[in-house]
Amino acid sequence: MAFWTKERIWLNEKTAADLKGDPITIALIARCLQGETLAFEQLYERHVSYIYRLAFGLLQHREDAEEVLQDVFEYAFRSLKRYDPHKSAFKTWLYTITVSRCRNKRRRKWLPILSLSQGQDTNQDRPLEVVDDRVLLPEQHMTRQSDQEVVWQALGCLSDKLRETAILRYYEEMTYQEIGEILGIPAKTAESRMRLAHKALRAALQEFMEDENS
Amino acid sequence: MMTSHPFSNMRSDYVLGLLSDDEKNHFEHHLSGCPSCRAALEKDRQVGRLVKQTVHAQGNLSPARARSLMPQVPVRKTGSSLPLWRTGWVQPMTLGGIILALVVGFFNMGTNRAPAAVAATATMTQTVAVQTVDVVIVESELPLPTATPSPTPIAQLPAFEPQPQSAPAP
Ligand SMILES: [Zn+2]
Repeated sequence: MAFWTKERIWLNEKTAADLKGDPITIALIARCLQGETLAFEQLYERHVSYIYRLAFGLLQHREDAEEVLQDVFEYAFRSLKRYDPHKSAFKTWLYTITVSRCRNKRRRKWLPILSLSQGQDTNQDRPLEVVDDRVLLPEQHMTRQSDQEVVWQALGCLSDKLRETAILRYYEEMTYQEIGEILGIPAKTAESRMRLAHKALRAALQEFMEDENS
Repeated sequence: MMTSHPFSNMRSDYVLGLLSDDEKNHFEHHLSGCPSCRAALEKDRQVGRLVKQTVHAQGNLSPARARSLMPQVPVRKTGSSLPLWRTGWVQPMTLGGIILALVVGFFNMGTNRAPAAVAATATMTQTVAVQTVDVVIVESELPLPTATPSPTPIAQLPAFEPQPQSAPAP
């Protein structure tokens, strides 16, 4: 909060070196805090795509992901003053909000167990670190589908926590330290979750990859 | 019959960036002479690539759709040129005060309680004035007298007696 006061100008030489994330975003935030509507639009445009991808990847449900997206930015716009660029990059801050909103969404809305062909998350009440055993039987449900559907389903068969870790690592290429920050877990836990996620995905995609490579 | 390869566990850790520098060098040294590890490693890498491509393609949001989902920009409340009584939590209080004053004024109009209301207002004004003076003294940081003489009761003060102006000195 104190960071954005008038006394501590956000991009002076003293503080600029300590800032996390890209300077354009920080400059945009400063303009937002001065009440510039255009800056809000630019900030949104700059970050909307990957936030949507993360939400959709985690929830695997388009409408829910769109609701989370709106919710995330509504909260971020209102709470912009609370963001401290010395602590984390804006992207990391947004990711933290997104993961939290996705978890709330799953908690509030009981996703019915859908058929695998719809690629929905079906792991609501499973032990958190356990991988769905259907992942290990890819031949049962991976026939006559496009490549993306196969991978999408494999992702959907992971437990929520493994999916969160896998997407942040594979898609966002985040470090385990960053993943830990976003998920609120130690980096070592993020590492072990990633090992489990990778093992499960590799097993699920084994046959598909062999077919593709042959 | 398949036997477990001694480096099989290291392969995924290598791809996931979980090896120390020493372990990494050790594995890379092995890799240069082991075709089966190289083939398996390619599969491990492919998992990450497939997930990345899929999440990217599936989670595509058109610019028009993205724009339509943008939430409203919050109305600026602080740091503006608005006076204090029109900002934040003060605003509803100000409004409430005005309404209260109007209601009280309306009911007091033309009744014999009017003098009481005037008296009450006068008392309030005095209180406010005293408080304001206090604040000014504190804020201006004027040096306060170190020993303030205790006020003498009026009854004990000598009666005022005009002195003759032209009384010659004895
Ligand atoms: Zn080998």
